[in-house]
Amino acid sequence: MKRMRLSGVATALLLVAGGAWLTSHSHASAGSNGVPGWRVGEAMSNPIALSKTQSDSASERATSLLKAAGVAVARTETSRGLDKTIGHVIDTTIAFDANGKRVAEVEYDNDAGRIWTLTRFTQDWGAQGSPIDAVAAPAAASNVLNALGLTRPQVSPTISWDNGTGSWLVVWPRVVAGIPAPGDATSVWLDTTGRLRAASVLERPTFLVPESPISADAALSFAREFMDGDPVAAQATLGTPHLEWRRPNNFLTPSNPAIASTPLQVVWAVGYEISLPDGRHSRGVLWVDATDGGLIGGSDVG
Amino acid sequence: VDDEGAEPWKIDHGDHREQVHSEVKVGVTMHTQSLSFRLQRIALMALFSTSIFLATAPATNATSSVYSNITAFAGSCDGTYDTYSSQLYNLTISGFRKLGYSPSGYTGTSFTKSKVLDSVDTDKAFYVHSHGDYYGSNDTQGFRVDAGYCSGAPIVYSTDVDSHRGSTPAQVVILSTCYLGENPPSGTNQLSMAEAFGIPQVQDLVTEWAWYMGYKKEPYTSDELEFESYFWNKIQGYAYYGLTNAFQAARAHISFSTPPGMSTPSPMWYGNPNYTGWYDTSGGCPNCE
Repeated sequence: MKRMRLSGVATALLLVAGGAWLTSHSHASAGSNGVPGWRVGEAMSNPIALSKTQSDSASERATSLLKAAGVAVARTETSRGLDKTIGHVIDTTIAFDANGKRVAEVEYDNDAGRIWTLTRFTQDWGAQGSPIDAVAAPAAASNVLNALGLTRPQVSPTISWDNGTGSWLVVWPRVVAGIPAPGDATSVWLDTTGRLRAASVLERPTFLVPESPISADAALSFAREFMDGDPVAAQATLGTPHLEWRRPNNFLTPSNPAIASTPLQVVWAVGYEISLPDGRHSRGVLWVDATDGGLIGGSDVG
Repeated sequence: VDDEGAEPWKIDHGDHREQVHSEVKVGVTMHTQSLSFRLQRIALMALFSTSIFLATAPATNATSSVYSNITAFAGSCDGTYDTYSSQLYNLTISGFRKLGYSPSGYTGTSFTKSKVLDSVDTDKAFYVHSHGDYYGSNDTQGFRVDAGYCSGAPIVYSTDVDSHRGSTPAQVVILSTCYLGENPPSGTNQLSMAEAFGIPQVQDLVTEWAWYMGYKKEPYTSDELEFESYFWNKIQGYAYYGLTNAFQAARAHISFSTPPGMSTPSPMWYGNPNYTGWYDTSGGCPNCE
């Protein structure tokens, strides 16, 4: 079966940097193998008790944010917890209307000092108003960011219609030091009339950009070396590597958390495709640590 | 995604165990850290297998089914140790239980076409993680079963599901695959998988307590795992949270990655926006808001 390459340098860097990061985020707890995060079967958040003063303060903050987003609130329920997927203390406030219906949820990231997610639970699916179009959506989304006290990222947004939420989705992809972070973004969902349906700021901590990243060719060699360790994978065609910010996951390392809370690190993303005469076919991506070529994760395609 | 119409290539699960075993032997020649790392990985794989067994064992009726294709995503089929299929399975078993169902679970060689079709008529809740696509000359939505096949596994078409079900819609249906959250292409007049379960592809259903979730395009499995993790976290964490609310809240947590050369995938839902997913809908929807 294939060999897993996790070099000593990569491990040491991860432990040192992770240790430093853990020190500065003392409430983050490491998993059994040192990689903190959330594993299937666990609660996603460790509850933290709130005093009445703290609870009232968090509720007022959430209510204020929701009012700024145009959501009327009659009552709120707030809880605090350490979210294992990002290692931050999150205040979750659920808002209800005068009829007792759940109308919105705000997840406020105390470590980042801003919302993590804000979701308005739509009661009017299929409702139509004065429509806005794809051209008008970015400006409307920018206004939402301003109202929520969020900074508009200095990159061009993408605009698409999101059938799943019945809304315009305006996404400012995150780019750090010129390198894209595909899992991170500032996003705003607007219904057809421009009202907010949801907003989120997915912006995880990052390690430093490696001073001397390995070359794309070297990354390709490490990926090839890894694939060559398995008779099926050895027949894969590898794509052109490109740099990304990624967290480790448990695609290649089942002992890792399903969602790691470690900072993002620079990787070479190397796509692969296996297509054999007997019909076996799969596609996916490997993430090669740009510091030393260790494999930190990836995914196949569903 | 996978190739359609390829020659079936079936693995023997005994081979798989042998390969894992031989890997330990190879690991002995490597340095200590690596051996420890590999043993830990194998132990974790065993733990996943055990958790599947434990999750399946207490099931007491067949009113809901959870299927996960493990073979095609791992081991001898693509050379990875992918445990996403096991994790998604465990998430859903636990989630269905939270909603009051007693799910029966099927993975590996027990996830067969005949098993799916034998019980699909009585399934109130239904989940599949596998490859999904438009198959055949008619571009009909379908998903591959596991049954031990790497490729060329039998396909359960939407028309198969439709022909084995009565007129009562299923209540909670989740297809964790490529493409099966989409409307079939305009003009093809094909039955969607959602419709096969009696759930129209609308988001304002009021006449039935029924809800369907799938994906558009071809998501990375890692994104499916993250999205469904946040989705079930909301269901697990709050009383009667509502499936659509959980969908919306989970959606805000995920920025789906785009596989090279593909369009950006996204999750999709249809059905009754107010349905909590609760198994007992007698007397209406007792726990709906």
